[in-house]
Amino acid sequence: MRAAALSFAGSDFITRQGFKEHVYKTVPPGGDDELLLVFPQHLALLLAFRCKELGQPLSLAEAFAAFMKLPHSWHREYLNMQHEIARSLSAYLVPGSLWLQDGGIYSSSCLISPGGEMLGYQRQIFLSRQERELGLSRGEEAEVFETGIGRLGIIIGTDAWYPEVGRVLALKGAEVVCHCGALSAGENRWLQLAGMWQQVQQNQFFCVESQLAAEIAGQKFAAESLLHAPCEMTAGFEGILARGGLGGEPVSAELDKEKRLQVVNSYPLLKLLNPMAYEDMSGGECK
Amino acid sequence: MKIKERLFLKQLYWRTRPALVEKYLRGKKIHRTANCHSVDRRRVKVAAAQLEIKLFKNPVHYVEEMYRHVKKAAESGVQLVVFPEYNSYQLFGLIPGIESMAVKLDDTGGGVQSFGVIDLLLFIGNPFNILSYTTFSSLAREFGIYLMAGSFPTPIDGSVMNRSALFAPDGALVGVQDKVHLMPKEHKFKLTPGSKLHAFDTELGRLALPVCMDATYFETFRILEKKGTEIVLLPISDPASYNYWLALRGIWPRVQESMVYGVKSALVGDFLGQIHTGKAGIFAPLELTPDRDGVLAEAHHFDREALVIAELNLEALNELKKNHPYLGDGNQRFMKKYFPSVYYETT
Repeated sequence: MRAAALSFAGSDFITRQGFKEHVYKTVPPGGDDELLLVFPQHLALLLAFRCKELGQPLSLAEAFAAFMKLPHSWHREYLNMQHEIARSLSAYLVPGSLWLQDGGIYSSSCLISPGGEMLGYQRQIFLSRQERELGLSRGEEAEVFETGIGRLGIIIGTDAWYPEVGRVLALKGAEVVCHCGALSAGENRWLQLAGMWQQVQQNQFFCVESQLAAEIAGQKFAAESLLHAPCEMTAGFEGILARGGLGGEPVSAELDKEKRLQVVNSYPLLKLLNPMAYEDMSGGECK
Repeated sequence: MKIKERLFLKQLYWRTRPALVEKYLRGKKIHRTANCHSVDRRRVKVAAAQLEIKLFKNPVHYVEEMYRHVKKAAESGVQLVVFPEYNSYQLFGLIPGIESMAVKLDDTGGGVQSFGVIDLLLFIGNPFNILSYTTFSSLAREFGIYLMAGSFPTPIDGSVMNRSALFAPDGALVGVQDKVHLMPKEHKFKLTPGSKLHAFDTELGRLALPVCMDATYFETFRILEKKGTEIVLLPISDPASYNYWLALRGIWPRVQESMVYGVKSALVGDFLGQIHTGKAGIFAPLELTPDRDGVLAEAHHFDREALVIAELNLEALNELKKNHPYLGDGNQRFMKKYFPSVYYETT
């Protein structure tokens, strides 16, 4: 299975049509039969900002505030466009994150099949301080989606630093985890190692990490997109199959499921868990 | 037990008796430090020892080796020194012919040979631990500092646990921790895992002492952090070639996700033909390290002796936990939905 992450670096779209053209230029249709494509966090926000649908926010906080007020129909239209992209590229698509209302407002993503069907949603489970202050709600489920290319899970934003999320996905059988991320420009190497890299190493799944590389209301986002695998199946044991994206190129690699299984079988980390010792894990304060 | 074995064991108890250790250390005329007289939570000075394995035929040489490391740290103002996992391997030199016996040990633990590793550990565990515990208790008391002695194969009711131990500046045993996650080889050797993680209140803050592989699993540090642990002391002994990335999979990410300090000691060198590698280090959340890389101090080499020292600011840690931009969120509903049931409903 081939997987790719897009960062949208160098994109200059200001319309939905321009957005689609950027995607098709970066990942030409008619390529791989089994492609998994992952877009970054805040992609819907970027589109709304570029299309001047948020007014003229002077800061990211103002952009978020305006984004929260967009009608539900805006997000539906955004998703319809992503369905079309998935169909055109014959790809399993995780279209970045958007904010969906359902009682509360949830930072969410989803998985769309190559036929354009919605396979399911995933909500962000743990929130950053800013997201809490904005009044976002927390998801309560970690979903694993059965697909023709394997069992897939999604980790959004801040959840990358909460290993509970990856552990649930791994124990529910996820083989590949798609991460929609957006990190402020700067030195992000260690932050990313403390995020999805470590989740991959302690759970032995693949991860397709898509990081946004764009500016929204004066806030610059830039970090490498990464394709992770257990250290034992990567060059120099680095745990990275492919990296890049800051120049706008897609970051892609072949995910060898057989090779991953060999690693898991020779060093079965999840079998060596000791649940007897985890009675204090359910979240209560034990101090 | 055969007469020959009984006599050997009796002799071993005699050679590892506490009086021997105490007499030897009395002869050192150790000057008790004031390192732990007043504790400033903004400057807790800790050290991680990296020991090179040497097989000692004389138990006093073991005492001398530990004394040398503790003295060096204590003279640098250190308040807590952390020693490595399996910190009694050196005493295997007390077993006559151990080098040739090693190749005969049943590597599968299944009893194909005349005895397995577990039998040997049950046999020598108690006398070895008497010597190790007496050594570290005495050194802690004489120097007036905290010592995490490392871990030791410990016979308990016919089983063997891999148990770490912490001593206070008055020489008292503060607490012990049985390794909860065993390496595949330890399972093969029929060691028994622990089933509870503990945190201990000390003048230096709340400490915990999980062992080596325990740091592979986030659960260990998450539970300990919830119990109020501020500094996690981790002894390791890794019988594998050194690789930066493989080594990074342990304590470093655990410190980042759980916002605690981490002190890792390492046992390195050749133990009966098995090469052990590792780098002792002192780790902190990214925000509390000068280069924002999560490392306060780390040994330069993975194959030789070292002592790394750093100061920890527990007040800064506390502030960071209160104000962290993306860590520290809770989601009770998610946690209750999946934990611990998810461990029993695996695919």
